[in-house]
Amino acid sequence: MYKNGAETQSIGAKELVSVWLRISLLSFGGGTSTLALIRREFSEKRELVSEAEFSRTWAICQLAPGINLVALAVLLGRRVAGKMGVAVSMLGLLGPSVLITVLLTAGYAGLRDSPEMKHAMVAVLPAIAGVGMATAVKMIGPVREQLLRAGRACYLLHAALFIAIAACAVLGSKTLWLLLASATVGAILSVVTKRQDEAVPSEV
Amino acid sequence: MIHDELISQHFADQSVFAESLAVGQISPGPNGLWVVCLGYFMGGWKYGLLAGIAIALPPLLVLLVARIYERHRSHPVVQGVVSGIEVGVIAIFLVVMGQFLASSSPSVLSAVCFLAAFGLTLQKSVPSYAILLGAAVAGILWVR
Repeated sequence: MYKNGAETQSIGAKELVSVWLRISLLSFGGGTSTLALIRREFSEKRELVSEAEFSRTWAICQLAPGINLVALAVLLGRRVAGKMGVAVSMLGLLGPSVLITVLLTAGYAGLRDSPEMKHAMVAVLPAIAGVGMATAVKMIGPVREQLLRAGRACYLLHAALFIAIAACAVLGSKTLWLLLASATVGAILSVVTKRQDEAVPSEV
Repeated sequence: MIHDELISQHFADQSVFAESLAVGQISPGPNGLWVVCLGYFMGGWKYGLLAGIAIALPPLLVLLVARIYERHRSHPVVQGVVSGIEVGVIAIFLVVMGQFLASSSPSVLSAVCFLAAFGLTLQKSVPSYAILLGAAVAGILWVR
């Protein structure tokens, strides 16, 4: 249980290492399964972080550069074991995974010129596109709901932003500029739609 | 951004990009570890490990982001920046995946693999590594 109303509990270095090693070695299947394992170890099994605190921490990680799950490991490590927890969590999550990935890639590189592997890649390439597009479609759902809650005007303006960014990406604009443009337009839209909300009296 | 920096400047080609994504999907750990595969293909195990170290550093900025976000998270401009980035990321991601699909040779096999992977991913029950392994097996069996 969490002491004195706190939403996190402390943990020793050895136990933290064992938690991250378990996650790192068992998390086959990409980011979703890794996130599920982290949640189970930290919130459900060991009760180191409350469910609400875990969700808040994950939301903050969306704003950080790089891999969100590594950022999550950094923040969780900091919350349960201080500065030492940051180092232990990063090494624990990435160390074994990176080594296994290098070994798997070396194994694949030895086979990549064989005819079987070439035939396999002909089918894998469109499958990657299918997995990626479906993932993007699934990401649209929660964002759409959130924007609809903010109002119809807000939703339509963000839909126009979506189409404009996609069109610029097709035309070859640099991703960094597109992200900066998205952030700037998002900030402007939030101010504009907030002013509209304040100008229109509530119906209730 | 990796696409911009490496493929557009011809440090790596689209097929190496695809191979890295595929191997990355069957590796343990976070999704982003496919850049370790890309590093390996570009310069062997040293580049692979260097890529592993390089991807560990930017997420440390989350400590700073967390401090700022906790202080200003209810501000409408901060919320606007976040929702703008969310919308932009999804749009860019869809376009990159569309370019991926366009770069594969058109055939019945590629259409079936694309549609099957799309449908199975939308149903949350099938993990992506299983879908890609299934596609690889289908590719080998199709030629026979």
